[in-house]
Amino acid sequence: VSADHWGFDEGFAHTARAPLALLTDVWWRGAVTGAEAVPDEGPALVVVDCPSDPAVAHVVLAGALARAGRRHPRCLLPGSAFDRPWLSEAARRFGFVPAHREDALGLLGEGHLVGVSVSGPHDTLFAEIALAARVPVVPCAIVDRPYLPAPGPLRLAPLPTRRRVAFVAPLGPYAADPEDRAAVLDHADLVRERLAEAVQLSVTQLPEGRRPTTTTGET
Amino acid sequence: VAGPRRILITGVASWWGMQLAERLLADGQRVVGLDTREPPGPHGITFVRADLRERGLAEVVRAAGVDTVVHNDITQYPEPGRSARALHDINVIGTLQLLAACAELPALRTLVVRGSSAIYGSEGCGPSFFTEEMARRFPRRFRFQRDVGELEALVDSFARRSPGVTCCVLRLAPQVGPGLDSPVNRLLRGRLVPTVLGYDPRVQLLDAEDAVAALHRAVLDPVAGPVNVAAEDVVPLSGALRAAGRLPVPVAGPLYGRVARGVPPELQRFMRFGRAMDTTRMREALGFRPAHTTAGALARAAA
Repeated sequence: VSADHWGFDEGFAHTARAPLALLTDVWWRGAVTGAEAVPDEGPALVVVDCPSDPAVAHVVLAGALARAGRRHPRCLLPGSAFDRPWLSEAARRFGFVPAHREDALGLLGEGHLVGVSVSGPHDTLFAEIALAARVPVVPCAIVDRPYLPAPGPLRLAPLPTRRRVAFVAPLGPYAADPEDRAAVLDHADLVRERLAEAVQLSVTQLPEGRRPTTTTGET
Repeated sequence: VAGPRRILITGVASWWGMQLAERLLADGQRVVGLDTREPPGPHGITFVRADLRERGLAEVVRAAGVDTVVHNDITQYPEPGRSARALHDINVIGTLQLLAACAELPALRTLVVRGSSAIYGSEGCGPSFFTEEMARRFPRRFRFQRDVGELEALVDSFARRSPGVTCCVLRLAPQVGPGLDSPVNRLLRGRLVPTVLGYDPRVQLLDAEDAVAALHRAVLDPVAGPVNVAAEDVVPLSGALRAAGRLPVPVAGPLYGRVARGVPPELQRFMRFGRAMDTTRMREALGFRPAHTTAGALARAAA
């Protein structure tokens, strides 16, 4: 096992990307649009809006990027994923890290593409990271059928739904003080607005009977 | 001001104490060693038999007339002459007494404390790299962790009361090395190393010789406040063990304590979740670079 100081194992991630791309195609029947908005080089932050579990959202994001032939994202997962046996090891080797601002800034400082969920661990983390690191933000909306709450670990098993992964044009980078609460909230609102537009766009492309009743996860 | 410095080392009979005393003597400094048992070496130190927990410490320290104190008497595990029950007394009460004695030393300029990275704990959900500001991120789970936390709080308040003294706490990563006999060494130097099934933590260690070198560096050129000290590489445990010629043997979590006997709880947790630190301050403020990597230190420990 060879890994960098984050625990990222390039060989493992490379091997996992092919089946993941296939999974995105076949199981999730994913339609990926606008992936060219993701820059090929330099630090950038992908902010994901997904009604289902954030861990699943980031795996779907990685699958969508693999399918579109873009670079591998290093995503921020909820810390609880890193307490679990096997899951913690796999997540690390796949390049994922616990959702801490310092982790994100470190990865962006090394020029990586970082994925973060629009919600949690707290509401404006993504905006704070974007402003502190002064990196462009690529909003990404993932739309699926209404989220079916399944018990326990079954939640992690992706249900066979049609997912649409829509990237929209990058925002920023903006020069604002990350400690300035008003600036952070402004930036967060701007990103959320773009996400809402992207979600709307994806929803209207879904067949009539499959349109979700909600797209934010808050029922 | 030219001329040798007078340096007091507590716990001088420990492995670190003797190694550090040797280096300082080689520099031409004058070393006063304090311990409850006489160290077998090195020659040239002024040994004072004293117990940090007992009265009369202040007089002994004052009589030594030192300008530098190295508080090295931090114990994580029972040693010859130190029972497991005495550890808290030595770590916390001992530090309290020593600092009270230090407050009466007008010539004191430097205080160096051998602390521990155990203060951060081992947390799966924790940040990938702990910086010095993150000591309070998680609740302190184990006795030793709470001890180092209390000890640092004491040093902190001493530093605030004594603006003329540079107080430096080195938060040392778990140490391995051929000369050192500690639980982490005994666990990692065997041919078969029990690991926790389902976990392959990122670990960062420190060669024991580098620990002494860091203490030496801090005595010569101290910086105020805590400094993380660890090898510069962070590696997955299983890979590092294999590279060092060991065989990791995964053991189911609930059975781990029974298989790995004599492994303290904070070390068991380290084997599950690992820990890595940001060592920017070590390189840039302290100006110290360890000679050995984590993988190299592991390989050396086997010899």
